[in-house]
Amino acid sequence: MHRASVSLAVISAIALAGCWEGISQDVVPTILSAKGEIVYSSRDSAGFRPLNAETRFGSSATIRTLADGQSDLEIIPGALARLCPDSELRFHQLTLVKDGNESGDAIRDRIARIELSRGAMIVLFEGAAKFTINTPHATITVLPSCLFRLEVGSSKTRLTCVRGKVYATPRTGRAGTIVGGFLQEWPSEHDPLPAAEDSRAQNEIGSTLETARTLQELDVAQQDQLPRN
Amino acid sequence: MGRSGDLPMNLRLLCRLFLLALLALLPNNFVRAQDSTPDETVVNPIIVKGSATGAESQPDQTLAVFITTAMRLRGPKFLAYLSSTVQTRPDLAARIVVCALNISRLNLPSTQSQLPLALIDQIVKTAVAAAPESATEIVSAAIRCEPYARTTIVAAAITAAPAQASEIAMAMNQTSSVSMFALASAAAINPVNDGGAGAVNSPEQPPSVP
Repeated sequence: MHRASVSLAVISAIALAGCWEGISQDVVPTILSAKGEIVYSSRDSAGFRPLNAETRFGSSATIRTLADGQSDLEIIPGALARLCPDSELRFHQLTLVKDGNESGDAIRDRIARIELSRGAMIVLFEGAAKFTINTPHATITVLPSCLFRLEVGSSKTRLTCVRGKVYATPRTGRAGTIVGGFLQEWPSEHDPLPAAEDSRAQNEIGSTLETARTLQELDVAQQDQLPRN
Repeated sequence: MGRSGDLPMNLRLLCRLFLLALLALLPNNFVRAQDSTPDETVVNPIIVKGSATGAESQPDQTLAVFITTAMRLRGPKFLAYLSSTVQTRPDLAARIVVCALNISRLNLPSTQSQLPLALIDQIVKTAVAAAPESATEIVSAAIRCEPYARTTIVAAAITAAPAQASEIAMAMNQTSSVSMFALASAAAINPVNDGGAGAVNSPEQPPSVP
């Protein structure tokens, strides 16, 4: 009897495992708009090349915006970002895990790991994914329904959260949460400050909200287009 | 005798030491107050940390506070907060309404490109009712922000402030003549711009003329 139940359990486990046909696939970011001078470098190419709205590059690419450059991107589905002028963004991993047997609710996981090494970006994130942004001073874990502005300077990294919340793990110091309406700088020993008390953050909040609207409009317009080859 | 006579002396000494210690521990101001003139009185500065009231704060600060707070609110609470902010700062009414519309857009599903007209109606009505004197600015800003809802915006504003109907109609006319064509989104209708297909490369060429 005992042997029969063990055999049944083993067979069930094998049968259930056979149902899982997970497909893990690297995806490429979609460029929603590109203004000014922007260059990119993919893993297989040595130098930087000009980038425009039609460019498609691999998931391990680096984008640089020059002083007049600005680009709007869909990093993975649901994660929209604007790369501000004079910035550098590197994509480390953009992966979708899909159940090959499902036709409806097939997506099992989304993973986005990027690095902002200098400059600034505005991120609007809806949906669910393991979305992390590395900076020289902190690693940001982005949570759903989040809107924030991230800026990396030579000595400091600054995050102004407009909506939702993010987790931040600084290189030195303790990890913490920054919720909407607060800003945090690293390295710093202080807790997050109310953004309304900082004159720079006041401007950032207004411009971030306007940018979020633009990103949404571009995303909706992009959904209506046919897929590119 | 000697030992019994030492005790009162020790007590006296102890009392003196106690008095000296008490004087040393007295507050500095109390000692100074005995021999100082009123001009020399040291007054500790009073530092009051707090935010200015809504009516006194800078425009950017008002908008930042509105945005970050309104982001967390939904439905009637959102409208009530919009109303109180517009009442406090009628000079910023138009910008506040634009922020309210943008915040409402953020809460839309990603596939929806336009705000529901009922929501625009509520926002405009609330804002105009809170600051009827800013009705024209509110209408102009709302139409620029959500051009497809022009009729709804104007109707809502006139309902909330019937006394301003002529001014609102004038503001609508000022923004309508040019934008009617611009807002019709000619680019979307034009097949050249359909999906960014690029230059047309047709195999059919015009006949060559000898």
